[in-house]
Amino acid sequence: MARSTAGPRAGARTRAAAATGTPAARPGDAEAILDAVAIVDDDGVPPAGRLAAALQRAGFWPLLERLRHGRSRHRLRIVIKPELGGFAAGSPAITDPALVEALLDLLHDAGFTDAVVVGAADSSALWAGNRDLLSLSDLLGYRFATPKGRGYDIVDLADEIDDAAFPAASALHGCGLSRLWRDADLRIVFGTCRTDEALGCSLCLDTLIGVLPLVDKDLHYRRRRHPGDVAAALLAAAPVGFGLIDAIVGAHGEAGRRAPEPIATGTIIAATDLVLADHAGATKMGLDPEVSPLFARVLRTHPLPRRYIIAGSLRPFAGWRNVPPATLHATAQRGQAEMLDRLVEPWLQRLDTELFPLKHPLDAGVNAKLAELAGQPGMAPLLALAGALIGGVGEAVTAYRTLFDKDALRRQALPLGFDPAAIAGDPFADLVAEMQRLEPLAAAAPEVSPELAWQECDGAIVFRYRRTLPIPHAAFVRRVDIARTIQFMNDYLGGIVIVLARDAAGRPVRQAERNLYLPQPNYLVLYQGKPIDVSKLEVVEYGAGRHRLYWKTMLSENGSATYDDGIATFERAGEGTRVTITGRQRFTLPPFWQAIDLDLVPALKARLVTHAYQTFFDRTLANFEALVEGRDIRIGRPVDEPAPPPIEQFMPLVEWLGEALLPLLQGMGRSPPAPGGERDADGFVHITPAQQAAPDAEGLGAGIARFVEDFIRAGQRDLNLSRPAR
Amino acid sequence: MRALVTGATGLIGAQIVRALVADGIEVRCLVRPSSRLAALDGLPLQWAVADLADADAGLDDACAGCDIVFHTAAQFAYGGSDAAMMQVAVAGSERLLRACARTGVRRIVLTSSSVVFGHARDGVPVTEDAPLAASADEPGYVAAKIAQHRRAQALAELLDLDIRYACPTMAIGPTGSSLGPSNAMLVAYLADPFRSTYPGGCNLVAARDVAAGHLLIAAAGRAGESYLLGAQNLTWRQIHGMIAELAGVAPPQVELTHAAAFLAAAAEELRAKLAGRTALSTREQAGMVGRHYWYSHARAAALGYAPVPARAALVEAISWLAASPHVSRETRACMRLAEDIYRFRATATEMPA
Repeated sequence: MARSTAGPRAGARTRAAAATGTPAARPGDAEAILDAVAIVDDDGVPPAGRLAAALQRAGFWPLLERLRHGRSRHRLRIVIKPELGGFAAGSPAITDPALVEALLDLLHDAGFTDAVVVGAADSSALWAGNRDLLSLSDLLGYRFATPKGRGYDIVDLADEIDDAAFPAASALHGCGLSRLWRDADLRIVFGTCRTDEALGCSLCLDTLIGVLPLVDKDLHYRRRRHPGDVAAALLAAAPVGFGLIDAIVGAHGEAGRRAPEPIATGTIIAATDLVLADHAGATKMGLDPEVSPLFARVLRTHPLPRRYIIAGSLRPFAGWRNVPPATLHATAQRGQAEMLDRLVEPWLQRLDTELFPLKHPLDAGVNAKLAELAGQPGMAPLLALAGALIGGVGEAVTAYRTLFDKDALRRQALPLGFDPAAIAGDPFADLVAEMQRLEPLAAAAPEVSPELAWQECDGAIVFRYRRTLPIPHAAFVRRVDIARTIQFMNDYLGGIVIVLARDAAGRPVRQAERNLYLPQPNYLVLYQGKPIDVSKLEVVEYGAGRHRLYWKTMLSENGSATYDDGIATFERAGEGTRVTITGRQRFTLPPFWQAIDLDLVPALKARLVTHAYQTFFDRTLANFEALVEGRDIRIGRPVDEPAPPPIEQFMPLVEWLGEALLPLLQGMGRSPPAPGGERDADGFVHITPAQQAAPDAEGLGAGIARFVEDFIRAGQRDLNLSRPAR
Repeated sequence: MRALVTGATGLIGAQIVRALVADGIEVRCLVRPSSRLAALDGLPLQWAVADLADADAGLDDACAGCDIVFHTAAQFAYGGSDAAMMQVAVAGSERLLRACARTGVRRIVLTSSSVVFGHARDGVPVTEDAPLAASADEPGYVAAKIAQHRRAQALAELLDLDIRYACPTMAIGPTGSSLGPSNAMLVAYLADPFRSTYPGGCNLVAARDVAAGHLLIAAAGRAGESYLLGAQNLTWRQIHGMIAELAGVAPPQVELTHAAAFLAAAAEELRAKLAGRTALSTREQAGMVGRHYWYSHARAAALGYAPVPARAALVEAISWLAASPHVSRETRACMRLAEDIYRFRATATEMPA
């Protein structure tokens, strides 16, 4: 069966123009429409035959011809990235090596001889042996020669890295990318069809992340960045020309990749678009593709083709079992406790320890007892509960850090989130005029402190904060760059700024920026308050003795703000610098605070708003002062700060607990020490004082006793204050 | 004239070095192999490397050719190893003094401490006429300084040395070395979310003035005499109030009892241990709460010693601390510096690294 369709996100930005006016498609008309997905499950055809059919029906060969641009076939550089994330030979969680080799043969048969298989080690290499690319591919069944006897290479994408592969607006800016992947004429991702506790389904887009070079992919590309942003950045920097999904034997089940269960699904999916391939794959698994946060995020910047051919049936696989929603939710919660979540991963992963021995004895011991048990279907509720508990710990830690230890938080790397060039008209001129209209409104607001005035207008807070710092203007603006004001504000946790235009002196005058601030006020974190995530357009002016920044909200990815607009002014005021921040803000409150409806208690609301704004801008100006002093004002730790394997972070805690508690535990069950002194002629044992005192002298018990004694002494001094202090 | 300064990179030592250089005196600095020398960058100095806690090696060479020794080296900590403090203070001083005797250096200004004379009773400031305090039940640092003072007095007689004792009170100010308990007191208040103070008080003095006092004692003091080098006697509430005003944080909100101070210090020690840093306050210090460490510097004043008031000392110290890594980013974000700080900065010429 084949049909053409309008994609569910038709009308989305990038593909719209190309599809306009495309005539209705017919089966086999892939060339006319360009995009196609083929789902092949033909009876009686071996897997390699289904692969060949899928390629044919998805328009793979015409695609190659178009890419050739007249070059000879053997000069077209093709790279194939299969899924290698399996923990046993024949695992259904990986792309079947035989199919990869069959693909190589098909390419060679057609004259495309410059094709290599690529991969890179992943986070499991940190805790299991034989996870380097060559050992892994060998143990998983790659034979380095095709069925037709053609030798092939498996090339490590961690080698020969381009450190400048991603532009400034990319979530991967500053990260490396293999030159081989970057320079290929055709990139093919050959994923597999498997359930996943974090994503719901793991298909081509998840496999794509595996092309990045750092070993700890889980940490750098899935936790410290949103995997959807990472996949989108990869697709933007090095588009993938073709997607394949090996669903001959799927990996289904409630435990996802942790304990994959094989199921015969007999299908190959092939598509000219990776998003389209995943859409079809998820549909075959019986899922709404957007259940995957990865897919949903990628869809924002890489929507489905406007028109495409579906050749085959999207009817879900019979008997397929997915990860229950409760487990998905618990896994997402668990992810908030980075160290703990990573720590338990090797404990719960079902694996062939003969092939992939666990490196740490503790991991090996716990895995031997837990992994098999945790893979049982009936364990899902218990694991969900454990996940929720770990997630609760993570949330508590995040809340504690937000309130009391901001330097322990992790900064965020974010893409811009919108395309400034796609905005019609002259948004920069408009925003200056609009922001200037705020100034009289803010000036008319009642003053609530010597620095702050605010009033509520249409549900937004319009405010002005003004203070003169005794710092000469020239010295101030030299250290506090007006163009970076947003980054210098209180609780800035990360983001990105793209300079769009500069003046003759090279200073930014037009920018696009996305910023992330901690929830404001910080205590909202206790009520599930979201970080404030706002993308803005900005205009910068540099006058004599006056620098100004105007900004206007274009988008809030997480819906945390409707408005976050304003003007920052640094102007000369005598020997000092007057800082004025005028703004209009409307942030989304957490449900608890929405339910309270503070408008019913205006006095309380006024007090809370005043406190929030006064605190935020007092601290912002303290940041400005600190910048003049040459201090680093950034909160949080760097995004890509390396982290040792979790077990290495965990063991010192275990050892410390052991050292601290063991003497106590031993002490509890210990008999009085046997006399160890000399026995005299009369049968008396002579024990020296040192022998008596030694066992507990430096122990925890002695420390506690000393502490209590000192505390009692301090209390006694309080009760006898009339007596002279000693 | 050539002077040897031990502990040359410390809070007081570095200020003495600068004052000596400013007076045109040739200075040799005795430093440990691990000392951070950045605080003295750019000064025309000779260097001698030795560790007083270790052995005599290098001490004779360090002293040879010097006319005077300023012995400021000490391990200043509350809650550290008592044995290590005693080792540096007593055995280290003895090694140095014997080296002085061997190499013919007769005049030594030894940096003792005001605490060797105990603390004030009934609000009457202590003078140098008070007997040396008993060290029983005193924190390790205090006991070490008392023992050092006693041993130096004995060695002066034995070795026929002209030893003069500079006894600074709580000296604060910029330093290129570790923060030290005196400056840590300021940081502890700035970082304290409860803005707590405690009963008792102390005498606050600028480290720069203490250094000037050392030079005065060297030039005009008398052999065997002790000189208290303080500036202003204040209660802790007054001191914390001044810090609050200058740093733009809340004034003291609560006065801790002994027991509360003990628990707060224990919590700070635990936090510091978990964070891998030095505690800003310790249970040993909490044991000193309630006392008035008030002193008279009349004897030094007779030599011409004229320290700035405590507030001026705090202005310099807070100006430096605010810009230094000793104050955390979070603490700095809560501060709003007074105009006095900016006025001081406009005139200040040097800040330690």
